[in-house]
Amino acid sequence: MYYNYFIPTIHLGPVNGTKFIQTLPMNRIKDTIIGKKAELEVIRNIFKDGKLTHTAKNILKFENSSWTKLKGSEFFWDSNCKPKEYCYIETQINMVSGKGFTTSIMPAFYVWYINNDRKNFVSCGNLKYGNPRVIMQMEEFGFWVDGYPAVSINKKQDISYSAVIINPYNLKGKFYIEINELKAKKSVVVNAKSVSRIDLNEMINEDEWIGQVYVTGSQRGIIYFMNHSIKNNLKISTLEHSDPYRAELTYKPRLMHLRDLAHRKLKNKLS
Amino acid sequence: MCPQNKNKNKSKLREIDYPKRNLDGLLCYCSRISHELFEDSLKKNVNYNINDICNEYNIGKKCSACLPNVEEFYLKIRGKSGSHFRGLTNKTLPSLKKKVLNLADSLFGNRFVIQNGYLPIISSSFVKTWLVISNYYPLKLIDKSVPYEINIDLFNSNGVKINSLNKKIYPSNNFKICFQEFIKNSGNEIETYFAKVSRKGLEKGLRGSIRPHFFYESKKSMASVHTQDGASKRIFLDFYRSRNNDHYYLFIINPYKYKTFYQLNSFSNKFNSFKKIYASSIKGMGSRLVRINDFYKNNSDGLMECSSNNGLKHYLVIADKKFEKFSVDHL
Repeated sequence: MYYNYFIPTIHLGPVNGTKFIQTLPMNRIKDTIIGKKAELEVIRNIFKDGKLTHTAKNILKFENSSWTKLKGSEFFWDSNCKPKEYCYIETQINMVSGKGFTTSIMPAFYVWYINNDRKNFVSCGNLKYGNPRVIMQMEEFGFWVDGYPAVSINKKQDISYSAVIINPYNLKGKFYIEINELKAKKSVVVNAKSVSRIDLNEMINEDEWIGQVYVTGSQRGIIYFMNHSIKNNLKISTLEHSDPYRAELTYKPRLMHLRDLAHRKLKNKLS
Repeated sequence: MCPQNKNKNKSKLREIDYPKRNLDGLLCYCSRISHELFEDSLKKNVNYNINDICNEYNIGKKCSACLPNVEEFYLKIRGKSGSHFRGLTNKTLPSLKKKVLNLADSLFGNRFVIQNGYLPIISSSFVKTWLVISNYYPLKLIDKSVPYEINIDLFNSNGVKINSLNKKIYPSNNFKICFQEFIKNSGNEIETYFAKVSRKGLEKGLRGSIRPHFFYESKKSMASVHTQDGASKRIFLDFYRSRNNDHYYLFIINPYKYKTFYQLNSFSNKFNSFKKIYASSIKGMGSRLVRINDFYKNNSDGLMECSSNNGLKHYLVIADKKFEKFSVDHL
């Protein structure tokens, strides 16, 4: 089966004072193109507080198995957010001419968040739809749940974590944050096409704590966990995608294990 | 040793019959919509577009995970009819090959899955490395978690094993360890180690949140990431710098027992060409921390390739100018 699109990818937009740099993985995208010729439309939409604030469209050309037009494979965006504002960036790639892609999922890549007076960091994107982990969750236990097992708070060292919830869908969503070890809960409503940040330091009474946080809700959200200063949450050390509560099984058939092993060895030998 | 789960009366886990549990093969699990219902509705309502049918049946309105499948299925129905369309509706009728494999699988029983992660450890007077493994579960999923067994092997930069740990983690517990407990104080020099962390469920159940995470604790940060296994003979890293003078490092782990040679090349996408900038080797089970800034002193950005004769595991470590904040990401 061939596809004429990649499922849109969502990234958190840059906070105030930060530059966002996205370089598409062109070598690996090339490997997914069927045939020697194609034209790709790359669309980047930036949303803030429910509104589309910026759109960028480019056409990339692939001819005789090489890229002949690469303008648009890089995207640079200086944040126009005020200190307490957040936005998100939705990237979509459609094939406007050509035979198709072998997959609907864009090869994974990092984007950069660059600052002149604060630390730089990288982050990966999230699929807007079609996330296999979410599909398995819905099948197995009927709701979506995301989380992070290593949220670290140290108030004396001015270190906290925030849960950042991106709602890129058309419906308002209600989300629930659970910290079961501390019996702490909080609910938050995130409007359609908006972003909300919840500083977990405010939910946790302990001066120092490392543990598991879960986020669930009436619908799926795109969740990131951000490590930052308590006094100035724009001083970010890292931005990490959430870790879902997995519905995969702890076991599998013995013969399947042997088949997987053989497949991996063969793949290693051929690479 | 982690304390046992005190809830001795916990209900028996539902027996999950692998691989039969996906028999219903719904198009949208949130709204319980089958392929048959979707197809029948489109046949009765010839003017329906995809939005109409999604609105009527609430398809893709909750988790949205199904939307690509819905779109494809819709296009198949509205487009050409034929055997490939019929194949899509018959999710409950596996192919002959699948039936034979399912039968063979059921005859030989199951085994617990062992998963590995390679954890890059950096150690100095100003940074410590922690491992965190959680066996908690969301409140709605009580009784879904199972006990896990964890094995940790710790290797120094030359590949010598310096310690091993074995732990059981029961539901409603987590396991945290600072690797500095096992490492001699390295002073102001940054030393590298690596931990191979293996995990295995001890009962049939769901994997849950058990994936290991680690973080570097420094003066002003505790930024974490999950471990990963796998090794590549070739990775690319495009990077950007700014006036903040951050330090960029490539942490390289050799997860195999034999010495591996690697080379760093500066790569040009435009000209499809590269220039060798550094070459070295890593002993079996060893590790290295290579400072990228050293090779790009006058460049604000670059595209670097790390190629090797055998697979290596790579992480990107970014530290601020004063080494007060660290972040780490797998490549």
